Amino acid sequence: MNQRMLLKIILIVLLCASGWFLVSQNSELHTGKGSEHKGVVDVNSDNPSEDFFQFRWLADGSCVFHALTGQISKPFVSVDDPTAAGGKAIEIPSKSGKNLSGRVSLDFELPAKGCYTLWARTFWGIDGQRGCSNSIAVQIDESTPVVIQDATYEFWHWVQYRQRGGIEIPAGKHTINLINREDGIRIDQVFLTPWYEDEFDRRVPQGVE
Amino acid sequence: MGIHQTMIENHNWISRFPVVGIFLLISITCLISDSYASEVQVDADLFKIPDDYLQLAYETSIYGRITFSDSFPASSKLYLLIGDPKGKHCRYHLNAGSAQMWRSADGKSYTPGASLEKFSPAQPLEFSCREESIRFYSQGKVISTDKLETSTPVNIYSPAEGVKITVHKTEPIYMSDDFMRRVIGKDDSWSIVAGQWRTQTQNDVAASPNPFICRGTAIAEDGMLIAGYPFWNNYTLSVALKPGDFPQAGLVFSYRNPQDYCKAMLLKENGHSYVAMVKSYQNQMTVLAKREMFYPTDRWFKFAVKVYEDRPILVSIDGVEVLSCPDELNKFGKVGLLVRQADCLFDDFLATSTLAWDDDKDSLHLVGKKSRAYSHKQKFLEDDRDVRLFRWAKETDAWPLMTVTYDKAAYAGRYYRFPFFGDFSFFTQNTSDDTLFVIRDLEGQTLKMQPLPKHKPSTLSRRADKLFLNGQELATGPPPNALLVGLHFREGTLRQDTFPEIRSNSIQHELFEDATVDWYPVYGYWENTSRWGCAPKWKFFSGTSLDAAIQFSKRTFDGDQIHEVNYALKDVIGDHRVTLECDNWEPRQHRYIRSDVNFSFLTDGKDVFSGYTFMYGGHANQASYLYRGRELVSTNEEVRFPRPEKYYLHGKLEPNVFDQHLFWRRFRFERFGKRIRVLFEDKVVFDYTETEADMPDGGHIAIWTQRNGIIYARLDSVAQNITMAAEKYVFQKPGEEVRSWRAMNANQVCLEPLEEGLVRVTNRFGGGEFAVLYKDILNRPVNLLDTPKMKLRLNIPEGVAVNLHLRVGGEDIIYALTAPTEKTFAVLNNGTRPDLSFIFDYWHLFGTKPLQPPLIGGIPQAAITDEITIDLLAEMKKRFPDKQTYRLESIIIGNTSQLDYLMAGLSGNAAGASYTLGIPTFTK
Repeated sequence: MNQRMLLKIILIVLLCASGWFLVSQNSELHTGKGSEHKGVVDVNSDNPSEDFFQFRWLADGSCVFHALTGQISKPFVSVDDPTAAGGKAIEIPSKSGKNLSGRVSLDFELPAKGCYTLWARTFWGIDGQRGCSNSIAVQIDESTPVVIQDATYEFWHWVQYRQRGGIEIPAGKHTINLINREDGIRIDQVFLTPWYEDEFDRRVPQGVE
Repeated sequence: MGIHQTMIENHNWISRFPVVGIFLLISITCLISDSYASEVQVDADLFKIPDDYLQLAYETSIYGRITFSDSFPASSKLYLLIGDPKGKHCRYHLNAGSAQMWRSADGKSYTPGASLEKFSPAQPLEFSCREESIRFYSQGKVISTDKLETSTPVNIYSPAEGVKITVHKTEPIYMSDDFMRRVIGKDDSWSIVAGQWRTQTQNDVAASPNPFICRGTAIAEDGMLIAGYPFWNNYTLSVALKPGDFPQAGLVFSYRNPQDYCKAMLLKENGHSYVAMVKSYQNQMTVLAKREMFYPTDRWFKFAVKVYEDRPILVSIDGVEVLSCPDELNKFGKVGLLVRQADCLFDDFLATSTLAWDDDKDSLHLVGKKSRAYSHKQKFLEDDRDVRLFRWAKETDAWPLMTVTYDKAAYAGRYYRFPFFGDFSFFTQNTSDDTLFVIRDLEGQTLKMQPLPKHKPSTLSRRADKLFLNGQELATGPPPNALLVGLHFREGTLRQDTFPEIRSNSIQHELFEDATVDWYPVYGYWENTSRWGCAPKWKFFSGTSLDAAIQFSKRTFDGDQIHEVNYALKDVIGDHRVTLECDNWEPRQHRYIRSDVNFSFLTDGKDVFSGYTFMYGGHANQASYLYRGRELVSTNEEVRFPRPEKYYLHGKLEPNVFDQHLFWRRFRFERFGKRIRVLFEDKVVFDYTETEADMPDGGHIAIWTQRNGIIYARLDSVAQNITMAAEKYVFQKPGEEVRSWRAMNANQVCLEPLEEGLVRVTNRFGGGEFAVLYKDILNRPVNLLDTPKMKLRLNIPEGVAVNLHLRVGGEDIIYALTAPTEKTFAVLNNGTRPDLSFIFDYWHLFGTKPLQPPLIGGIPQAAITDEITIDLLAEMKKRFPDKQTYRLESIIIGNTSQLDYLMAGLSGNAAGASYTLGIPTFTK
């Protein structure tokens, strides 16, 4: 083993140790299904994708979920969409109505409390309905659902769960629920990221995360 | 994006855990790049790269901010290395008080230029890497621009101790907002910084083409509605803007905080209108650029600002560039809407990096637009009104059936009913065995039947006069310019859900569902209003006026062209029991005014009678007419509004309203070469071939009526060339007030000072309110008992038709000068005109009888070429002999006669018509 290889091994060990340290010190994110950085799941045995991940937590304390990996109840359905993350998204088909029982539930676990911002990557108006297909309700645990919406149609983009001062989330297991509010929409990713007082420090998801 | 990238994108991570963070980043740097800082080939004589370089980002396009902490010593150094440490890269060697840039390439380092300018360590130093360029910004300005000479992606390495570095990946921006909601600034993308921002909507709306509009109001401060993020840059912002009377309204960009932002705006100061760009920095306002220009109020404009790092900032109105300022600002920041000392309407906001106003000329637009408001409407079961509504809302007749024979077999199919000029694409998923594209000319002759690959998506397209199937050129001769294209099947048929996707720039659909920035309303009330008095919740786009309602397209349509107008009459009377004043039985009774569904095309955009004009039920529904300019070239007495018959609805006999009450009808206007055809539904009304040599090749279209209300649901236009041509509306002469004369409506009239105290009055557009007010008398009424005679220098040529409108002791009269006195329905005064938005409260205005003597008197002359003297006291005593006092309170020169379409400019007052006048004097 040459000197460079030895140094690399040492660095890898230290890298893991550093990662563990940060996760334990920061407002650490763990998913409810494990503590790996990246969970690859076979969400569709007919079309497995190595790039398709259930969740991924990032070293800055952010966590990105693929919406399709949650518990899905109708009218939410899985659809293929080459423009979506991993080529897949969840959809509330047009004319599904406003059945509030339909939801997608994404579980995660926080060892320590923290202040966060939540984002959803959305595609509004798959049926040309625009103003009638541009929102979804988001609920964290049993809190009052909050409507997230905007008016950027027919284009994948991130929409923020708006709460002044961020969302306080205590330590423990949690669930993000996406609740049907308007049909004709798609969502592929959900992004939870630490909130900071200085706006320049806040991470804004860009493109597919 | 890998974990190593995301990890280092947030510097807080580093600042919170500096030791671990730095170590971790060093590790990652080494692992990823497979190199060590000590191995970097540099010119050690210039400076030595420290061992603790950190990789900060690995993105093609980034924005960064460097903040020096209070503890950062002035003598300490900060290094940024951008690029490949082993290859081409730039190194930036900074300290808190000065900066020197070094570039390293091929193992040698050198300074590419002058030192970076001094920057204040108290302010963040910002930088961007984009398109192989790096720029540094300090205190709001660019201080260094340099080519990286390195291929992307970019690696940035830096020691992080003592400074805080934030790096954001920057993706192309795309954000739109049509404000279709009840609340703004809550649960959406906007934050209200100042002012009042709310949506304006109509009461009682079941459906409307555009039911919500953003309304901004602010008094003494810059009211701002802000969206976006601090790292936004390189985009075009646009918004539909409808300024009020005293506006300061526009767009905000490069917004950092309420004291640091830029604004591009329309503003009015001391009676003059401007477009301006202003930079606010630490509460100091600096005008970046400013230009005086007249812009009409109460009309929609598309106001846009183009903000890119490497280009001047450009401001445009309706696509016409009107202002620019040099490229030296730090333009990073949020974006938004602005209003100050004004109440302004906004709609259809768009921020985009990819669809800048001149960057998408080569892309083809999607054809086949359906109504957002009405295509999803539930069908009424009791009657068949929706069959006609869905025709325009869903394009239910866009694909007529046709059968062809190919290889001795019958193929059933459909063709798109509009022809394609120029480039187009016609895409089908094609899930059938035997499928044909069928190409025909306008005479119906089949030019090509092209089999498609079985069960494969296929695209038929034309580019540069050549036809292609799936990218392969088809062996045909040069096809004619106008082609009809259909899709045919040996088995099965074309269902509505499998209609091909068509793209073409020669077809334009207008459903009036966005703010009408593509139209210039010359006169009348053009808004979404109720069609029926009995069911006001159903709104449609309409033009209504007690005089003329005229709206021009800002686009021009050149060459061969087709226009289809889907219209309905507006229930302007609102009470079927009322029969209004009319010349005979027909035009004005039973809720509707059955006359004047008018359309002009090939016009100059300022005068409807400058091109060709079709009038359906014109001249009080005597016939339909075709005009060339102001010359009547054809009349069809058979085509006019028929006498209302008694219609049955729900099995009951209803009054004579249902010939119009539920119907939608369609006109089609065709121009091919010298031939002009007008069709009402499928019936040819006119087939006229122009014999004059100077037929215009193209021009604006106009939809209009006179003393009526017309619903325009949909207008489809097809032309060889469709161009936004708004210059004539953007660059209008200023001149609202000159020498005591003020335009009654500055959007209609332009005033210019002449020698010897004279004023030139010019009509901006044909017809309309060609009127000026003598303002000095408003506060100083003249006692006609003391000075009964008025002298006024006037030079009114033929073709200008105006009268004197006077108010004496609260009584309004008209004294004829050159305008006819017949069919005059109102005296102009300084009061407000009726608000036609509440048309059903004012239905009786459409039934007002024309003014009769003695309110209107005098014999109009063909022209006036000298000073006139009028004994006003005598005139008033003839009309009002019993009055005790005769105080002249208002003098207006203008026109309200409707005779022979004077309000539309047919019998006078064409666009550009002008006369001169002096200042009135009063003598004994």
